[in-house]
Amino acid sequence: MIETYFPELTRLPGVEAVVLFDNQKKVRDQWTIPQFNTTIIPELAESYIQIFGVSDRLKEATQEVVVPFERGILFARNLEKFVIVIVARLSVEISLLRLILEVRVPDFLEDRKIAKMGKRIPASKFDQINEFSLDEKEVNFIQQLTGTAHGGKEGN
Amino acid sequence: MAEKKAIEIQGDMIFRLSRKRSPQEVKLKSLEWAVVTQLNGEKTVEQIADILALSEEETQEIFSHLMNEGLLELVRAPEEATFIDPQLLSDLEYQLKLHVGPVASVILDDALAELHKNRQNLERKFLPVLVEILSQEISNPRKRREFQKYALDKIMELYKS
Repeated sequence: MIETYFPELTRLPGVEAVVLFDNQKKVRDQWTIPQFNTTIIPELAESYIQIFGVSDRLKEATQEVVVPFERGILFARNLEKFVIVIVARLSVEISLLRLILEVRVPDFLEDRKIAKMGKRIPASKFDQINEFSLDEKEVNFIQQLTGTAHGGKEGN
Repeated sequence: MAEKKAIEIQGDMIFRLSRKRSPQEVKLKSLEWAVVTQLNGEKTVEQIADILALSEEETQEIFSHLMNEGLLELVRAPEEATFIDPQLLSDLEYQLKLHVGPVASVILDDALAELHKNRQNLERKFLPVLVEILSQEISNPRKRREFQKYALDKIMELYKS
């Protein structure tokens, strides 16, 4: 999947891993150089689902997160129902990774097979806290409480 | 005592062992020996660092030490020293013109100025960010993507050569 939809990423010197997972933490495809430690991939999935889940929950619409580490960068892009994470050496230009995604992501998301796959994936991220709102009774109760509190202060 | 020069070691540099001095003449640490065994005039600094799992700091320190001891000969200079062909910029300018009209030349020169560069001294590593700046000037998403596709193909060609 990655080599088909994002061929430039796998050919770019310095890119060590590309992981595509859905928002339920399931790894859909991965491409790595032979020396790459693949045991960290589930942790990567978990971390980024958490980050983008919180962002979605707060309606911040964070599309991209880039984190530097000792030997390179972790570049993650939120594709709503999918997340793509790229592990690359520091020599790789972030703007080039971004350009590749700008060009390739629309084809990826518009592909019939991927669109069909996406339909079966829930919209909210794994473990994402659901939206909640207060009902009328709760609102009245809080208003009464705060009203009393103000009244108390004024009385003093 | 020989004066030590500060050398910036970059990932795309290639070294081989100097013919003028043998590593046996110098007291080396085990990691430095490990690097010496990897030097073949073909592997880049980055590739050697990968093989030996060296951090950026270790890589810089080891190569600088070997260089200062006169054990290394530079086979390939860092790529940053090579500028991209101005013709490529003219091609990008032409493509941009197709989407935004004659103002493309001004946009390109402004973008280059923003990067403190001009058409003659733009290094390869700045090309993607230049494309990013130019793309923002194309308001139609379909046209913007067409331009980005063209630029990406050109950039990937540079990586092949």
